[in-house]
Amino acid sequence: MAEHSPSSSPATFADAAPAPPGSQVTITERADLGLATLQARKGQEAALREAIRQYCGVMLPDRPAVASADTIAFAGLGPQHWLGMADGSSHRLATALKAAIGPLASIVDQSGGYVVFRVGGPAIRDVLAKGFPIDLHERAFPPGAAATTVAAHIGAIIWRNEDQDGCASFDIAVFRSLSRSFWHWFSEAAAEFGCEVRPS
Amino acid sequence: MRIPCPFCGERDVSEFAYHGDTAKRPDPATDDGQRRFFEAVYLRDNPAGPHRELWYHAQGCRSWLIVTRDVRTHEVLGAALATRGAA
Ligand SMILES: [Zn+2]
Repeated sequence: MAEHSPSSSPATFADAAPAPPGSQVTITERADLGLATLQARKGQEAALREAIRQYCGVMLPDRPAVASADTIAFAGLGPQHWLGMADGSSHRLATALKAAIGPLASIVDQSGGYVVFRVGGPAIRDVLAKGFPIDLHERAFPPGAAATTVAAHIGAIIWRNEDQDGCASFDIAVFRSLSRSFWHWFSEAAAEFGCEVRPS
Repeated sequence: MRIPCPFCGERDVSEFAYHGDTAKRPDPATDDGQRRFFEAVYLRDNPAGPHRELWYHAQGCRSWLIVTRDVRTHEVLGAALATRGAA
């Protein structure tokens, strides 16, 4: 079993400065997150939806959105293509999904492939607007919305959580090998607002 | 230029890769394959107006799209998933 690179977390980055007082942006890594991509096999989309519903009670979204139940969630990445996430499950998610849905989908463990950052704070939209070429406004991107796009030339999947502490909260998945580049961009973009790096 | 991806919504053209028109490539193995290939490469239509073309949403949902674009104005008249048929 591959171990995650410890350098993926901003909390371990040497250039993560201490949070200035009155920071308006927060970032943390969602560590120990099980990740797996699912792609429905030809003609199996309906059967896959039913199998996932029976397995965990989630209806796979047929658009760029996140659907969840308890500790498991699925984000729509493209037609018949989803990213599954489970807190605390690490590499076991892909194994569990394969056992549950068998040949209905191609399933690939991505736990070591992506890093997921949770970002928030009162100025978070101003930071994200510097890099994401999509509209993240309250009306255009409500909680549960998801998008696959680029941020500062880095491929990124973003989805919006329920608000936290009265502020919008987003999760951003980037390829693990690009997490430092992403952090470089994010920390520079957030510097003017003050950025608090929270331990995972 | 923006392309209305049927899955992702309207996105900047920089997220897409262009792959040319949707005309089927002739089969070079047929008896008159050489002539058909010559015609497809050198004698193909070059309309001034709406054009059906393939675009790949490489930085988004990774779907192939059939986009109808007016080549005089770059106005995008429609976009559909290539797997679902015509735009
Ligand atoms: Zn798309």
